[in-house]
Amino acid sequence: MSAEIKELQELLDREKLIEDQVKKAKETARGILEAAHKEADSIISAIEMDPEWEKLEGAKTDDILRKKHELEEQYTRNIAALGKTALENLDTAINRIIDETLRVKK
Amino acid sequence: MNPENLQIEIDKKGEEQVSKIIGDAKEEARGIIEEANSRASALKVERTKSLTNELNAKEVSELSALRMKEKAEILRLRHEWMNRSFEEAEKRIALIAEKGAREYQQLLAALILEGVSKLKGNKFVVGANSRDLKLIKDQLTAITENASQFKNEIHLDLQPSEVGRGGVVVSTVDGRQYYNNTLDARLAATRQNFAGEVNRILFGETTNE
Repeated sequence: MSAEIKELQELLDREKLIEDQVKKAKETARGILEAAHKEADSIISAIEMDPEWEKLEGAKTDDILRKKHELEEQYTRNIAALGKTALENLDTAINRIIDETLRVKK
Repeated sequence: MNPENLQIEIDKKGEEQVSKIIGDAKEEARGIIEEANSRASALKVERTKSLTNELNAKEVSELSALRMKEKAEILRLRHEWMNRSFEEAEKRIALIAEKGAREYQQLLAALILEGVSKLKGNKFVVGANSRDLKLIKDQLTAITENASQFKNEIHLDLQPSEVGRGGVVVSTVDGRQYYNNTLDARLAATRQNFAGEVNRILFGETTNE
């Protein structure tokens, strides 16, 4: 009889051991998932902090500045050309105004 | 089942349970990472697109502002040159009037005749400054004769008047009708009607006329 009790006791101990192992496995599983979530967060954060964005923005800003500079130079040339043409034609324009003002239809 | 087999069975089930728990967790963790990677890729595409759009909009806005500024500057300069042309013409016309040469005398006669031809009636008052009145008096008979080519029995009364740089204002005796043929009025009309042409002359643009 006592041998049977001993066997039963051993079985119960065995089951207790298994329960502990399952409990431990669940803790390990939680740890695995926590680590996975952490890694996932860092993957997403890495996108936000990617230095590529700054590079892209810097390159475009430089490009805009270059185009603005080119346009400004072109405008300076256009305005100088406009002034030169107007000065060359000023007398003709004045004479046309005078002729028109003093011209009386007969 | 004997106790030994039972123990083996308990161990086996226990190991299976542990293995399943760990396996499931690893599988779920893989899914989480895969989803994060896929979200990261989508985020990257979206962020690239939105940043590119934002930067392109910035470019369009800054370059448009610059173009507008140039257009405004060009317009301002054109306006300045136009004013300069009219101001200079005004000065030269004033000089012509001051000199009172034969051509200016003829011009005054023509201005009076034009005024007379535009108004109804036969009796008119011609207003001019004292300098011009002298020049008109000298040729009043000739003017009246010329007017008789298109109107009979013309009578002209001369009257001193403030007419700026010169020219005449012709009016009917009752003052109901008048024709402003002063140099200032004519210059203003030239500005109104010929600004486009003067603009084309100044800036060397060809016309379609």
